[in-house]
Amino acid sequence: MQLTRDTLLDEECRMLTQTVSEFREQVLTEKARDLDEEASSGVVEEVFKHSAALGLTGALSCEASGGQGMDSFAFCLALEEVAQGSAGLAAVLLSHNAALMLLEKAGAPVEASMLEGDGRAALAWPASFEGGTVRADYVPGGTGASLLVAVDEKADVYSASGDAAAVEEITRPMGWRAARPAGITFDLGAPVGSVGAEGLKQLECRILSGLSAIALGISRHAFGAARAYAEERWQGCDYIINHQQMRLMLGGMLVGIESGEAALKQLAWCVDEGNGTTGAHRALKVFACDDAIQAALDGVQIHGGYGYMRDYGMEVLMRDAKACQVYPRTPAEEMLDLLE
Amino acid sequence: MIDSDTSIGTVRKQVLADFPMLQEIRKRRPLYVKGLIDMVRDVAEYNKRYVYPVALELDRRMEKDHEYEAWDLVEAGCPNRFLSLIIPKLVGGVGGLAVMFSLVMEEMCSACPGVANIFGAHALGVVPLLVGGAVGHWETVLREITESEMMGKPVIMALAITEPSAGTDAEEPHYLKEARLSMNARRVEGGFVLNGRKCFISNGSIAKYIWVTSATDREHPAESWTGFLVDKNMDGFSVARVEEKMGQRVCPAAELAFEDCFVPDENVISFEGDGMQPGTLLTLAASRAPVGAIATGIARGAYEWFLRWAEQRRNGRRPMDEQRVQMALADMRTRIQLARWAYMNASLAFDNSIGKVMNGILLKSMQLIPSFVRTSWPYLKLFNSHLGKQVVNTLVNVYTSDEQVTRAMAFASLAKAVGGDTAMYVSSLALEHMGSEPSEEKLWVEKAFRDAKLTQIYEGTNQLNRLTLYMSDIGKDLTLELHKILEPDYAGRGVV
Ligand SMILES: Cc1cc2nc3c(=O)[nH]c(=O)nc-3n(C[C@H](O)[C@H](O)[C@H](O)COP(=O)(O)OP(=O)(O)OC[C@H]3O[C@@H](n4cnc5c(N)ncnc54)[C@H](O)[C@@H]3O)c2cc1C
Repeated sequence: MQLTRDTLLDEECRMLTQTVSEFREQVLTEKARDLDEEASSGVVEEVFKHSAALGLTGALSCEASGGQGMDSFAFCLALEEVAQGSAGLAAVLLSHNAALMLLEKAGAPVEASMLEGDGRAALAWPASFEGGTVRADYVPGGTGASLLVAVDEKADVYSASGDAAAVEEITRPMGWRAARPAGITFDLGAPVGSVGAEGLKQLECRILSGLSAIALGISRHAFGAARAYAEERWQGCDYIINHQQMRLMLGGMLVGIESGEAALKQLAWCVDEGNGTTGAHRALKVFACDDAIQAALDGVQIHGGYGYMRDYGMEVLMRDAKACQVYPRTPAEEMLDLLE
Repeated sequence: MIDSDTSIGTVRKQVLADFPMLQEIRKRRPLYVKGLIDMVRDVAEYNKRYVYPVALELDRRMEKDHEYEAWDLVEAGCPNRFLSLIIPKLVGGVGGLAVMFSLVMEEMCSACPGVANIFGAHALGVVPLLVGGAVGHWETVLREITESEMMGKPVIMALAITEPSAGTDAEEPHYLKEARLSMNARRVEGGFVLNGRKCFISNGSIAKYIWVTSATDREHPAESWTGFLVDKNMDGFSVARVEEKMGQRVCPAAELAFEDCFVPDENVISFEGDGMQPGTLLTLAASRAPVGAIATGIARGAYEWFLRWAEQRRNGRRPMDEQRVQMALADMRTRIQLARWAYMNASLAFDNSIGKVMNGILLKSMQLIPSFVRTSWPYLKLFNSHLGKQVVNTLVNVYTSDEQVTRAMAFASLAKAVGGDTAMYVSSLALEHMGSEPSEEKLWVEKAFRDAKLTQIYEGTNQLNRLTLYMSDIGKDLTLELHKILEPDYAGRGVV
């Protein structure tokens, strides 16, 4: 699907989206079911390694230290493409890249192997700090991560190896199963550095825009699949795409996608210019997730009974959209803070 | 809930508080309402004893092992007569109608709609035998169900309308005309030969008897749509696959294959050609209100678990002390109550039209005939014959009207759509507030969220149900035409 946004992409971004979308079509689509159902079988590590070859495991780290130095917008484009294949994997990549970015900004060394996808980092965020330990109840990518990173309110950054942390995998989560989320606790050593208030804000903006991108990826997947299906499905004396009820659902999805994309481009650009505001990012995240849920529900609905069957790959969108909606906080929590 | 008080006093209080209309009816028919309340209490106890302890685990298990058959739960329901709820007392059933069935569905679904749907889809299969006046089969098939149930050996039914390329089309007479059908019934000496596929059939892989629709004339599917009673042991019938679903997993949905499957004339339910109008429409008019109740039960389950979550202290505070959670709870409660009244209203409309015939004059007249006569060969032959069916249909037409049953159908669609949307809304809103922190309560609400989506799809999508409501109640271009069965050129063309 050609979006208005796509027509404005520069050459570099266009190439990036194309490469990632090929990865999605050639690898993720085939593995989608395993990523959802057999996340502990090693399939996540396999596709994570694959995404390393595309530079997605060092996306936000600067080029001087071996990363890609992607700006916020390019990273969002990549996440959105990945999320169209597996929202869970996109969450793993977001957590990993945000963790590495934080370390780098704090002036701590980042091992090359991490950037190359030989190890995986996860960000324990939001987390509570108490009595010399840090605790996060829900960490996407937490299970199997070799490095865990956290940041406190004062912007001090802490890290621990995966082996040193207590990791409680959340068993059979409803959505984002490829992310193998876990509750994480680790002992605080000395901080590895600090990112300052500005760094903290940047982090939050990147995570929220990344989550909005994942939500948009889910919406786009739902839209693309539902539209294709509606064009072929004959019911009610016509192809169902010609029934107004179906067109309204598809049209509604496009309204959300186009407006979400436009806002995402603008907000990502603000972050890259150093003008990111967390309020606007929260607003977009709430909007994009609400929309992803509606798109997923409608995507299933347009597929009728087939949408409810696991083989059709639609129902997973409902589950993934719901996971995205409540991480890191619920929409109500985000909105209540918008006025501050 | 798993630990709620299921004593009769508490259940009575609750049911009467939820349904003011039952308080009124109770003044005139105290025994009837007592029967309803007793049944709800039985379900609450069944839930507590058998369903709550295993529902989450079973759902998890059947994600991997989707062909697992939870017969133990069905057997555990036998003493409560869940398979005989809507079967007439005449043949050993409980004799309940839509109101009773809906109440049972709400209660059962508040614990697990997957389990409930086994009983729900079974009843769906029974309905065409009732509303189609297949009195001959009452004495055989329905009696087998009730007697086997008493012995703790459940016999299950299913209903197969949907085809791979015709879901909505197979439930709506205007659309059926241009449907892309795969099933075909060819007339042969002594019956019909069925070929083709039916898909997504709840209980399809565990049912002994299945009501199957098919066109007998591909060129005129709407006019030749016919209901057949298929026995799973018939040659040419097989289960092609069992589906892997997002939710309601305990109730299997199967694709059924018919390859030169011979069905004798006596297994044509009602007449050749009335499988859609009134057959399918009447069946859906009976079953959509209970599906609204299924959805209401799912919403209620999600609400109850959310409430329990909200009452617990987390990090020093109770979510319920926050206004946002209070408002969410109030919103959920509102919608659940509205959905509840919608299904009760529709169920009453059905029971007071077709139901009146079923439990009234038809049964009373049959009860006059001694049981040994009713099970004799000439009697069965008579009631499976054209004449017998015509007698039943005449009675139906005398005691109710097209207008009454059309209104019941419209209300049923309304209740189904409201219920499905409520279940989706409530479970989604609950999850939205519960966040990402894991908890037992959240596992139940997540299950409800997955289970709920089906209620917007099966029994006609909510889009179709809105169209049915429009066509039958507002646009007035869809009427349930009972009287047509009696017209000589409409009915029984192939069977006479
Ligand atoms: C788990 C499960 C259990 C089921 N159990 C049974 C069962 O026991 N027996 C049985 O017979 N069937 C059963 N079904 C089938 C169910 O009734 C159908 O799925 C349903 O009727 C929709 O048909 P479909 O799936 O073919 O969707 P379609 O009819 O192909 O519909 C696809 C989309 O098009 C829309 N649409 C279609 N026509 C129109 C129109 N004219 N205007 C606007 N929109 C339109 C629909 O609303 C839907 O969104 C079951 C389905 C499921 C998923």
